[in-house]
Amino acid sequence: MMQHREDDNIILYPPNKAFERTLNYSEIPVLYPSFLFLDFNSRKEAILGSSNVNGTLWEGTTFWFPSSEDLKDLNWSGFYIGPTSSDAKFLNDNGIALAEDTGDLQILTINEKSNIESYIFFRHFSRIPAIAVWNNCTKVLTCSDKTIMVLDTNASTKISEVYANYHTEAIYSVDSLRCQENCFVSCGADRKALIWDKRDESIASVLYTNEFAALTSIAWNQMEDNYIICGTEGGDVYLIDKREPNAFVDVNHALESKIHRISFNPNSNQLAVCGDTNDVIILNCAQQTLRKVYDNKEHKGIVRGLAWNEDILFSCGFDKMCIVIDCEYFTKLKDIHITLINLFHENIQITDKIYKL
Amino acid sequence: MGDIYESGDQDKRKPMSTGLYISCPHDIKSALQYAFNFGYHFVITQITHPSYARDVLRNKFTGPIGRTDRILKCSEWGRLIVAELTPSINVDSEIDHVHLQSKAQLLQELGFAYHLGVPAIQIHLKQRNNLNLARIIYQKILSSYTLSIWLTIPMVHLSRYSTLCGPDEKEDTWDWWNDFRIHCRYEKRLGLVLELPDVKHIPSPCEIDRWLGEPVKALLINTSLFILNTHGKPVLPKIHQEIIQKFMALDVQYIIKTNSTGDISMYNKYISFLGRKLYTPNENEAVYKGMEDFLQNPLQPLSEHLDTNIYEVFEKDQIKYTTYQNAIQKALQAVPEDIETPVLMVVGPGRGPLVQASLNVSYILHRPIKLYAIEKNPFAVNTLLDRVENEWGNKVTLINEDMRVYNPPDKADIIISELLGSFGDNELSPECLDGAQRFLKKNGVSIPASYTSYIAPIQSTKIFNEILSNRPADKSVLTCFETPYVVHLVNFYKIDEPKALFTFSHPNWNQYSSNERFKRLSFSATQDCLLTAFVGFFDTVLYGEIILSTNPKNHTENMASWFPIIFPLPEPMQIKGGSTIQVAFWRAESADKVWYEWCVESPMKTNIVNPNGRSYFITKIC
Repeated sequence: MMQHREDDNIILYPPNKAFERTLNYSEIPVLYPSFLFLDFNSRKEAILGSSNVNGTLWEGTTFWFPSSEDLKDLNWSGFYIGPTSSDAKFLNDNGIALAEDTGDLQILTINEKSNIESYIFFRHFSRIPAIAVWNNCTKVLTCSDKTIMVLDTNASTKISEVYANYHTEAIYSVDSLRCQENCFVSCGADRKALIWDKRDESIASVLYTNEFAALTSIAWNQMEDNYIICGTEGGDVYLIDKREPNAFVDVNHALESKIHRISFNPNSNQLAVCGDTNDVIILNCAQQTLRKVYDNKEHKGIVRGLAWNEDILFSCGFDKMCIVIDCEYFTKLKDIHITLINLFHENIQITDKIYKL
Repeated sequence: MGDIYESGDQDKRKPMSTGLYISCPHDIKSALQYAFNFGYHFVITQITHPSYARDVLRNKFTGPIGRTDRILKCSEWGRLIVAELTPSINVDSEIDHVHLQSKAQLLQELGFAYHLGVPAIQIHLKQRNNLNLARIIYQKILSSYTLSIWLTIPMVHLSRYSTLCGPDEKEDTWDWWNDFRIHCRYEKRLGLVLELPDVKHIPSPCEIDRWLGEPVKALLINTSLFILNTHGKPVLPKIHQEIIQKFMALDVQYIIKTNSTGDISMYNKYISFLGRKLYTPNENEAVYKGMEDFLQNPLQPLSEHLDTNIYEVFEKDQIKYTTYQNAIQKALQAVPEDIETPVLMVVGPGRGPLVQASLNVSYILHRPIKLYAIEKNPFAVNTLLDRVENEWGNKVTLINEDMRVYNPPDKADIIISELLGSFGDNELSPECLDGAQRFLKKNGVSIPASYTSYIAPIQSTKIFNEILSNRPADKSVLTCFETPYVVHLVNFYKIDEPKALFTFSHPNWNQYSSNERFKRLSFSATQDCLLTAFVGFFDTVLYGEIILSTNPKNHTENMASWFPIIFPLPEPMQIKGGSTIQVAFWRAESADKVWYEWCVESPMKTNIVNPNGRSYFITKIC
């Protein structure tokens, strides 16, 4: 029995009893240290997913920020509280698709008062590790266990397209060709990357198979849509040309850990990569090569979420931080650095020649 | 539920334990309550969050691992939660850092599960090579871990029907399981959770039979497999019901995985309903209950007097004694009419059921007989004395002696015995009847007239483990594996049909004949499997065409007597589909004992098991 000592306001509780705590969802949003995802809409508003993945109550809060500045400062204006969630994407400027670990895909709307509410949900058989959306489209691409689903959030009934007999093991990642709602890619524990086109008779085909490692993340280059990038549990990133399936164009050992997310800069051939480390790696995949441009180690925990706002990359992770990386600036720095090195080498060669003379 | 799922006898039902898979619930206490509210008995869920990436390897990990243990009582963790480990753990990766990280994470999660005291851990197998996983699990099992490991695999791997998989990519998940349990030496705490396939991809009957020979703990049923019946209620297609009916014998549990947002009690209630609808116990089910896969030492009625319990169990079998009575009747009818009072001798009558049968026949045929009952067990004789006096009106001559030495004043027209064991001759019926036929007329008959043993190769790690774990302190492991056992076999797979082994006929007037036997038999394996033992049956011709049989091919309907006998192999043997299993079997004897030896010659040669009857024999000495 709990006792209240009036003299010093100390609550006494039997030492041998478990404290009876409330098991309800929080009413006031909690910014948990584990940030799992980020996304921007066309108005440059942002969402950030924060979840309690190592406590007793597995709760997630999706925060909405009216600007990237607010995101940087974690100054949220709206929130949605529910179970932990692994991914979310803006469906449009006011709509969010949220992948909850209980298996629900929540479709949220942000109203004029910045309140976020769920208006429909689609239940899966198990957690949804990743989702993707298309431009100007109400459909959401999800994966759960070995099944891919395309859900129409606008349909009056919850009828969805289900693709269950393609991946032979759990699917870890999906991405869409944003401008073409029939096309998407997927990868998973069966070490296969599949490319899908719903217009084809054979809806899915094998794009790439890795001999050694599960494929943990996949991203479609929206600028040059012949190219797809996938990452492995070994930390390698593969550049794949869809016109030459079952082979890779180039590979880069980006991390000494599993690749968790790959995110393309929508305006360039740059892509950001993160995994189970505090690194954010920027690669450039122009000219059929994968070249590391930049490696950011500012995060103090494992990095989970990556999202581009124009040419600015935002990352978040298990350190309760959202970090901004101006790639243009760093790319220029890198180019200057390379130029300097080249000049240095040329200088040595010139010195050499003089010496020989 | 009777209004929804009709039919099924309330009194005859198989209790169906059903668990609910819940992915990453907000709070585990409410998840448990949610499952209970819908009638489920336990919950399968993660104990560490699958999104909780952490570097367990490099830094000394000091952070939280998962939910506090105080959220549930120990009794709840210990009875109601099956812990699913993080599925992406891959300790068998060839990439060093993946292997090392995964190993550290696995050890942490195993340790946490052990700390919580969950009864079982669910691990998904994702590939054939699981050597490192098996090694870690085996180490834990051999140390102090008391929990069970539920390896989860699909009954049919998707690669077998995915259009994206080439012929060289087809996987048989039985191979995955088989490799794993070999690495762990068939450890009995390793169990299987099989994901039920959809109707289009049901495995062949022989594949299902092979799964039935495995330690399957649960069937995972995705509710997408359900269809709606005419009342709009979810039901499983007939083919799934048939599979469930087969697995019901193993007392498996059922795990429901659903995406339903409505009343999920429908699935649980339906499974419970199947426990009534599909449960068709035979007449002897009550007799067998609790004896499933339980090892019993074969009786040694010559050297050890049977006790009243055993006699009572024998006497429960109506079918057996009715058949015997029919045989006696036919035999007595065949005794020439000029023999005014045929002499019948019941040798080894026990508490007298065959004496009663003989008297019944005499009464039915209105033909007087002279009836002897020759019993060596003085305590059974005590019963017989009472019956002679109070039930049989002193019409039976009772002799308390061993039939092999007794010298009766008359010669018998019919000798009746029930000396058969589970393997026919394994309770020394040949030796006893050879001894007793001295007092049979030359044209007299023996009931039984003959009996034949049968053997078949089987796979049963359950029996293998039962033998291993029930080793008496005074016996070596080898001794235990060189001993036959009588077992009510349930969790096994019959690799091939039984074939006839040894036949004995009575009377046997050939003075040079021996009761030693030797025979080689060949069997075919239609699919990859594990040979762990040979199972033995017998049939007997009592008289004319009246037979009793324990051979599954023509088992006497509703006969309760005689469970099969198992001849184990000290080491299980991997068998490839299409290969031939050749076994040699001996029945050997010396002055004082009889024993069996057996030896596999193909596809691999084994040593001869039980040479010279060193581990098991039947003594001839009273």
